[in-house]
Amino acid sequence: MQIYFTGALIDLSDLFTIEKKIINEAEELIASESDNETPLLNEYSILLSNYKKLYRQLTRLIKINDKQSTKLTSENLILEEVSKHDALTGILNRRSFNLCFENEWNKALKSKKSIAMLIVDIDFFKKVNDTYGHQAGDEVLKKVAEVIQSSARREDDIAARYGGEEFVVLLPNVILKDAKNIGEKLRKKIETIDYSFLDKSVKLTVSIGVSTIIPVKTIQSELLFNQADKALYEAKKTGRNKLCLYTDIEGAGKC
Amino acid sequence: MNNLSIEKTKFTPEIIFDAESGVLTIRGESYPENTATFYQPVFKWLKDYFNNVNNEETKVIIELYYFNSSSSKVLMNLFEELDNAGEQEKKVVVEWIYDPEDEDSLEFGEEFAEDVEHIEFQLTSKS
Repeated sequence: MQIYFTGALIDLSDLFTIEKKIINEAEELIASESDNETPLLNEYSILLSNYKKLYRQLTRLIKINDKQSTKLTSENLILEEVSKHDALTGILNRRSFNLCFENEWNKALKSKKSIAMLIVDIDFFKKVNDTYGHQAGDEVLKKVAEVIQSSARREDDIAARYGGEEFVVLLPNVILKDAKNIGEKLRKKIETIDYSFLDKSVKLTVSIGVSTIIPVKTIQSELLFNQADKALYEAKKTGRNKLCLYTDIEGAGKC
Repeated sequence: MNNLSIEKTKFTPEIIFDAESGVLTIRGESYPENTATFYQPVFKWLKDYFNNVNNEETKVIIELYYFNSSSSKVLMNLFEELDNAGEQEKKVVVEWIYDPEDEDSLEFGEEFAEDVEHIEFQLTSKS
């Protein structure tokens, strides 16, 4: 977590060279007239004294305010990060996914490149919670999120927790064939994770729906999600622990 | 004389000035919409207090973790008033309470402490 700058400005006097000059000259003047006190000189001394007080107060105010601003800025940065991520798994949350997706969609509109979306849903997740408790469920979510995150390896890839046991991966500039391979690798990797709950060895699987689109202005970005979602539904319907492509089910197709 | 009692709000601190015990407390946060207006009764009360009440010691307890710039200036004005009273042979002690987990809150107290000459300025940890 980067904090932009730390430490107070110890010496602000470099900002006040003119004011310091005025003070020095006034002090010298008063000193040189010390054996020639007049009411005017007294008034001048009082004025100088107040000027010096205000100068001190101003530098103090600036120092205090700078520290407060720094603190607020770094706290805001932290809050921003926190608001973007899922508290349990640390992966991006749904809100940030939606923002990133819009961004990538618009980029792909210009580049005319294919975007791939994978929706990953844990099979029988509720059963884990019911059988082994919520802590077990949390452990599953964390582990699955970790594996999914690692499948989003390039800089523009996005992995997020979309819902309770649902994750989504967005892969810009990826064609269907490659998205399918990435999805298959992911499915297999998750299948091999061994959990130990209540002294039992437990394994879980995921169903994955995959779709790709080359964005054009006439279609909405939601279409990509809807297609991947339909493919996911088909994967669940036809046995789970599998990956379905939207193109498999288009028309009268099967997955 | 009457005590001063101002309830805490989201933007302003709780202020309880007890003339009899000589304990004056300011606690909370200070970022009022109009700082001068908010603190005007505080300074008025303080002036009356130092003119009419003669306690052996006046203790001013300040626990302000967040205050805006205009409140900073008010605090400086406040400490100046207290310092003037101290210069006139009144015993005044300021207790600045800071949060040990927040380095800034200690440093702010140290800043204000630098401006006083005739009163005691204590920096006390919250816990």
